Amino acid sequence: MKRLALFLFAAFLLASCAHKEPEVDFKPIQLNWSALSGDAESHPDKDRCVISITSTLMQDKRVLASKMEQLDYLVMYDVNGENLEFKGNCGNTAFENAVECHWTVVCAAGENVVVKFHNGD
Amino acid sequence: MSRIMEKIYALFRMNILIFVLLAATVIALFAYQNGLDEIVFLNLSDYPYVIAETDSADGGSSAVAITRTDSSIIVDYELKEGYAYPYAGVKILLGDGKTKGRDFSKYDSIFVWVKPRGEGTVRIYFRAYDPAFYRDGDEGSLKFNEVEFFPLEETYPAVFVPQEFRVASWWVAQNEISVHKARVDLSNIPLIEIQTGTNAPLGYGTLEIRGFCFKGKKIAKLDLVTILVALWFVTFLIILVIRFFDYNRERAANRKKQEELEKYLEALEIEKSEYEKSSRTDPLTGCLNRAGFGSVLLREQENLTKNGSPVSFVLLDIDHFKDVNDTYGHSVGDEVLINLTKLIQGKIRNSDSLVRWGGEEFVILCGETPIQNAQFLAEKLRVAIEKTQLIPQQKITCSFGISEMVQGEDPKRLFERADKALYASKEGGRNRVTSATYRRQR
Repeated sequence: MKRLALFLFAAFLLASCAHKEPEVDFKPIQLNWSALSGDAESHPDKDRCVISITSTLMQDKRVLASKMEQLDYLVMYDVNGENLEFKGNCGNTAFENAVECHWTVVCAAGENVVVKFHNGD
Repeated sequence: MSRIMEKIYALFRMNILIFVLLAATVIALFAYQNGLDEIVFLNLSDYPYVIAETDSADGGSSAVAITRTDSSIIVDYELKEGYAYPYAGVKILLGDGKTKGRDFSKYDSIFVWVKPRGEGTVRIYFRAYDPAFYRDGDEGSLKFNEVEFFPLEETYPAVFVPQEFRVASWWVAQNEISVHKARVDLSNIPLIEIQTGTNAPLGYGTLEIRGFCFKGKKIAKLDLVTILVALWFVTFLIILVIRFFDYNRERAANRKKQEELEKYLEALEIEKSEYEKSSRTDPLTGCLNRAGFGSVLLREQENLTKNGSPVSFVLLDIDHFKDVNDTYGHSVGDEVLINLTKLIQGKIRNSDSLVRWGGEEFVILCGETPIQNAQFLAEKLRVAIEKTQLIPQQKITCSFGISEMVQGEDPKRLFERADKALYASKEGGRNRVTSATYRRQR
C-alpha cells in the first residue's frame, strides 16, 4: 500500500513538473459588416464600435458554446440618433432559432458595448 | 649611377656591414701593429754642407779634419787642453742650417751609425728651429735636443726613441727659457751635430759617421683611431638615417594597408548585411520571407511572455490566384503580388511585419494587437483590396484568417487556427475575414 502511494506521489510530481502546452479550443467567427447609410459608414465611433463588438462576441460564452462549427454573422448597422445600432444575424439558416444567432448592440459614445442576444422572436 | 647608389644603399641596410666594419677595424689595428712602417734613410751624400767644429770657438785648442767618402764622413780629431770641456765634431746642414730643416717628429725610432776609434761617449744634437726662441743670425738660439751615448764597436746602429732626447740644460739656462717650453721638438731640424762626448779623453780620435735612419708609422696612431671612430660613427649615422626612413616608409605602408583592410571590412560588413537582408526577404515583393519571419516571431513571443502583450496573426490568401496565372500568365500574377504587397504595406503599421508565406499566401504579424483589432485591420484590408484595381484585367479579392497567440503554445497551433479560419473564409465564399476565437481548456 505504501509503495503504491509512493508511486502515485512520484507520478503526480512528474506530471506536475512536466511542461504542458496549453490546449486551445477555438471557433471560427466571421463578421460581415454592412452599413445601411453613408452616415453610418462615416460615423466617428464606427471603428471603435466594430472592434468592441468583435471583442465582446469572441469572448461571449454563448458564442463559444455554440453548436455551429463556425459562426457567420451578417452585421448591418445604421445611425440611431447620435448612436450606432448594430444588428447581427447568422448566415446559416439551419440554426435560425439559436440564441447566439441574433443580437443587437447600441453603441454609444463613452459607454461599454453590451451585446443583447435573442432568438429572433 | 643610380644603380650603384642603390647597391650602396642596400649595403648600408644590411647588418653584415657592421661585421665588415668590425673586421676592417681589427685588420687595421693588426696592420698598424705589425706593418705600415715608414723607414727613411738619411743619406749623408745627399747633404753637401758639412762643417767641422771644435772647442776653438769656446777658447779651446782642439783640432779636427773631415774626410768624406761615398757612404760616410770620417772625422779625425785631436782633443787638447784649453777649454774646460774639450770637444770636436761635425755639423750636417739638412736645410739652410737656420730656419728650414726636416721634420722627424713622426718617427718613433732613430738609428745612428757612428763608429768611434777611441774611448768616450758621442753626443748628438738635433738642433731645432723654434720661432719663439730663434734669434736671427744666431745659430746658438736653435734648440739643442741632445742625446749622449757610448757607441758600439760593431757595425750595429745605436737606436733611440724621441723620448730619450732631452733639451740641453745649459742651453735652457743660458736662454732663460721656462721649463714648460723647453721640451724636445723634432718637427723642424735644420742642423745635426755629432760631437765627442762629455768625458772624451784628450788626444787623437776618429768618428766615422755612416748615416741615420728614421723609422715610424705611415699613419699616426691617433689619426688611425680617429679615422676608425669616424668611420664607425658615419656608418652608424647612415644606418640610423636609413633605418629611420625605412621605419617611416614601413609605417606609412602599414597605415595604408590598415586603411585598406578597414575599407574591405566595411565593404564586407555591408555585403554581409545585404546578404542577410536578402536571405530574409522575398526577392519579388521585398517583404519578409519565412526565414525572416522566424526572428520576428521570436521577438513577439518574448514580448507576449514578458509583458503579456497580445500578438495576432493575419493569414491572407489571394482568391482564384491560380486562374489569374493560368489566364494572364505569371508576369501578371507577379504584378498582382507586387501591387498587393505595396497596398498592404501602405496600410499596416511599421511595427507590423508582412511576410510572403508562399505562393499567393501572406502573413501579417501584428505585435501588441488583440484579435479584435487584427480582425478590424483585416476587414479594412479586405475592403481596400476589393476596391483597388491591382491589375487592369481582373478584380482581385483576398480571404483572411485571423488568430491570436496564446502564451506558451506552439506557434504551429497558432498557424493551424489561422489556417482553419482562412479555410472558413474560403468556404464561406471568399473575400471574407474569419477570426479564430478561442477558449482555453484546462
